[in-house]
Amino acid sequence: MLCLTRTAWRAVTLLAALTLLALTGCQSRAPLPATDSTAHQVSDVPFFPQEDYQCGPAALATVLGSAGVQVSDQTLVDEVWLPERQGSLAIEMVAAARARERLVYPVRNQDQLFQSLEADLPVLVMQNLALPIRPRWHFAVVTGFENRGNTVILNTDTREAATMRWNRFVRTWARADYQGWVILPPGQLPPHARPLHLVQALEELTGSAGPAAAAPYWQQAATQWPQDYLLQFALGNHLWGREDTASAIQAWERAARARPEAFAPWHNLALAYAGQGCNDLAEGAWQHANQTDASRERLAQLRERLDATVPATATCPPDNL
Amino acid sequence: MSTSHPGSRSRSQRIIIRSLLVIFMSVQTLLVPAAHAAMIGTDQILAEESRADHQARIASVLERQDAADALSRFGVDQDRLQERMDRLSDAELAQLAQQAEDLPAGEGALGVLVFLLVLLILLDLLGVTNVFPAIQSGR
Repeated sequence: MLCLTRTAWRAVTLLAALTLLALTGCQSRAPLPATDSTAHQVSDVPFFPQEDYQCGPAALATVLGSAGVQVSDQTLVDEVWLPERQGSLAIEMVAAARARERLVYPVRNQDQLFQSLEADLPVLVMQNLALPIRPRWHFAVVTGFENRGNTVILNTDTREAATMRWNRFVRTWARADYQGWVILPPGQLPPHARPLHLVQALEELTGSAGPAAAAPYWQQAATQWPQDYLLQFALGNHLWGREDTASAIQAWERAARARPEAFAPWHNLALAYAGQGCNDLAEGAWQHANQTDASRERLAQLRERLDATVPATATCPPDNL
Repeated sequence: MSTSHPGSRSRSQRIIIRSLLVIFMSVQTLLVPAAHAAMIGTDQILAEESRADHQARIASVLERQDAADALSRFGVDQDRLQERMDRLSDAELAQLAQQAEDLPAGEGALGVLVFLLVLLILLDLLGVTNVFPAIQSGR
């Protein structure tokens, strides 16, 4: 027989409270944005009035135009409009922007939204203008704010620079799970970029538009995070893929310096050195790799590959590790 | 008519040409990426790093005073929690981390409780805590 103790009753009360919370959840949530400036408007944002297609193509053409890609909303209809779903899928929008060799970076909360606007980046947002159970999806572009962020300015449907109260806007945005994106001109990074998400975004760009498209963004990222393990390691791989061996080695060296206990940079360095005929350096990197907590199989595999490497004529970098 | 015409080649000639082509192409596809394939790729490290990032974000919630209090009231051992966390899949961790990020920074004790409950369910730790003593006594 079930004997409910006091703790169990507490759990039941807790569950009841949670149900209540789930029911009232998102509606009460409209915190005021934290921003220092009173108003800001991103300049030179193109405008495409549109009522059809959930405004997806128009909103995308707007942010692309702002990132230096001249494209009409009509051209984008075929790419992002899915007739059978009667909608533009967010994923198609992002893919269409990447195909035009532009970095797409997510904007997931209010702080990131205002930081982007202050950096003169218009933000493509997805909204749900109706209820969660019967959604009406809509795409718009936030181009600025006024009144200390209590009002946002949007290019939406057929209206240019329409104003909307923050409270109302943030509810429609929250119902679309805070989905938003900035599209960046070559070589520019968003103010809220973090190495982890940036590397992810750059890998996705490389996947759809090739490594050359990602190069200007990599260059900027390399100077912004000279001591970040992940970023420098991934940069090394990017450069290696572009057959810039000397620069790739430098990036991996920076990654190894940032986190000497990690196996991956030493692994790639050892192979790159060996390929260049720099046996002393390759052995040095191998020693370092040996001191990491890499598994025996991985170490054995690396040793095997090192021994099998046929060196080219040696022009070795200085040993500075 | 001695001009070369595809149809005029003998059958064996065609077979030789085709097999040469096949060999050439397969050798080429094997050789070119070999130098690159040996390197440890970005995707592998990216997966490791994002897992670590998610764990750090969850840990930052568990370090909050209200979360620590609730956990000790539930009788959950922090070490055990950490040990179970390592077994979660990448997707489960990502989901929890997203929830952790959505928690308001200052107050919101109820939000923390929801988070902890989801965490404990995922970690299959409810049975070993005294949240539901009836379940525990059933073992």
